[in-house]
Amino acid sequence: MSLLIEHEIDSATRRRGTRRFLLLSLLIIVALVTAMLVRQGLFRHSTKLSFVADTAQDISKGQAVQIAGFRVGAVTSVSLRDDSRVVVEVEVDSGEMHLVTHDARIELRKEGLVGSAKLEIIPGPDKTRLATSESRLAFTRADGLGALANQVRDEFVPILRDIKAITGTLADPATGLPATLAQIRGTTQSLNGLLQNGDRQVGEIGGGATRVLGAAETSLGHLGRTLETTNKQLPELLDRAQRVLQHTETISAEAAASVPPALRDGSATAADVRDIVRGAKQTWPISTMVDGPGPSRIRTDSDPRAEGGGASNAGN
Amino acid sequence: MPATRPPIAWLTLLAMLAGLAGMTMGGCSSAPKVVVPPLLEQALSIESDAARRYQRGELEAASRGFAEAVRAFVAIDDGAGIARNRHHLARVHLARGKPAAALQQLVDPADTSLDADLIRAQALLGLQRHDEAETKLRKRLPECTEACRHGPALQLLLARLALATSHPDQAVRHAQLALTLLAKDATLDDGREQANAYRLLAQAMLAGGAVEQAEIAAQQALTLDRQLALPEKLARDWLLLGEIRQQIALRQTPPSSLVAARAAYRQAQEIATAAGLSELRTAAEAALMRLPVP
Repeated sequence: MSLLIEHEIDSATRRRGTRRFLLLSLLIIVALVTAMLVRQGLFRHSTKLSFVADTAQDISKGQAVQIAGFRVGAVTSVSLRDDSRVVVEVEVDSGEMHLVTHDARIELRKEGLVGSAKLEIIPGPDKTRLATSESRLAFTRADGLGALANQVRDEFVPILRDIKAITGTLADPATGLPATLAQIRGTTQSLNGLLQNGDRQVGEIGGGATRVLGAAETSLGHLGRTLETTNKQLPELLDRAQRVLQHTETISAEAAASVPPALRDGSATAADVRDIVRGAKQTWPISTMVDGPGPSRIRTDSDPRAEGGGASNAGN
Repeated sequence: MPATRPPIAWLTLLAMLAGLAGMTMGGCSSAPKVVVPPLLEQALSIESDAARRYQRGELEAASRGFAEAVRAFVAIDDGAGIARNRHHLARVHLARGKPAAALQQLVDPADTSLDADLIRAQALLGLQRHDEAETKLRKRLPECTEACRHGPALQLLLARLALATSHPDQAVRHAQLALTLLAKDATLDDGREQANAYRLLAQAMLAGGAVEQAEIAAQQALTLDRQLALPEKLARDWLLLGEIRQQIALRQTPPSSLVAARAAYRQAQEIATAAGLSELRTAAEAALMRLPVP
């Protein structure tokens, strides 16, 4: 009997252990599943946005949507409209929606020009209003390698065209470099001839200059003799001038003493005469004979120099 | 018995008393003279002296005198005196052949008198700015038709303008109108404007081809200028006569001798030499040299 009891006890223990193991496994599975679901964003709140593009090139479902390089959402659907344009719907974490303004735009960028394409939400300038659920955002494509190549081509082609024209002009036998070189050769020959003529003329001028210098020397000799004569006569002239100046000084000194009083007396006398005449003019009967001071009138003469229609050559 | 005065002495005394009474009454009856302030009197005196010099033909001294008068009137802020003497100074400059200096005296835009505008027009004519001169004269024409002291001068300036712009017919018309206006009122002129009118008439008729009539008009101008004793105008009158007589001689078929023309040019040369008018003397000599040798 004890064996049966021990067997019963062992069986119960085994059954308890199995139940505990199963329970634990179930919990672990649930936790794993829950973690997977959380990771997949099942319990995450998200906001739907959309945009319209001309083409779905480089856009695919599940593609990451970023803000400042951080993944905040993904493309949920890509569909073709009746007008041949593409509507793309994205979902963005609700927690990051405070960064998406109502005037934000979505830009498709390629990493390093040829890398994978990513959608980047770029907030707009108006930070006062945020985008709401189901908002339609503007879409742009960043320039890729193709656009860069086109730009380089557009800038280089005119330059190459100009180079071709210039080289063509230079090579022209009539107006280009060969003709210019020929002209330079001809001009050089003319210049050589001119220099030779110049040498000859300089030689002639030198001869003329020598003659002129000889004549100047003769004139200087005359001048020297004249100066000698002047030098002999000058002292006497200076003496006479000195005597004249002394006489003049004497006369001036005497005049300085006598003339001012005479002038003052004359001025006083003239003032007295003026007063007397003025007084007489104001006294009857002389006042009736003399006109009082008044404005003067001179006769009009429309042609004082009898020039007629011409003007005077004297001018001003 | 005391001695009595003889009757003749009484009569003499009575006459002296009567004369004294008459003088006293005469002196009391005349209007009291207005006392002119000394500086104003001085300015008027300078002006009057300059005017006398101008009448005597001493243009340099007259110019200095009127300039001093302007300064004197400026010192006492007498607007009428300043304007009047600027006009006088401008006329002196015109008589000296300096139209630009004359115009400079009338730059004040506030001076809008008819006299000022006529002087400006005369100066512009001297500077050969014909369009501006014509504008000024035409603007004043409506207000100076019949009873206007400046009427003859206005017509004579228009005649000069017409001659300068080669419109001899218009010049004849204006000169004749000026003579008509001068004939109506003898107080307007002492003869010089009349002489100017005849001279312009002679020049216009010469330009228009009426040489015989031109000679008559030129003779009239010469007669009037001789009465006024104006050497420069006399010399120019003789030069004009010489030119007219030269044309008359050349138009005859066959051309008659140029003796009369030569005589006129020589007379002009003598007057210019005597009066010290070198420019006119040179013109007369040049005219003589241009005549063919007899």
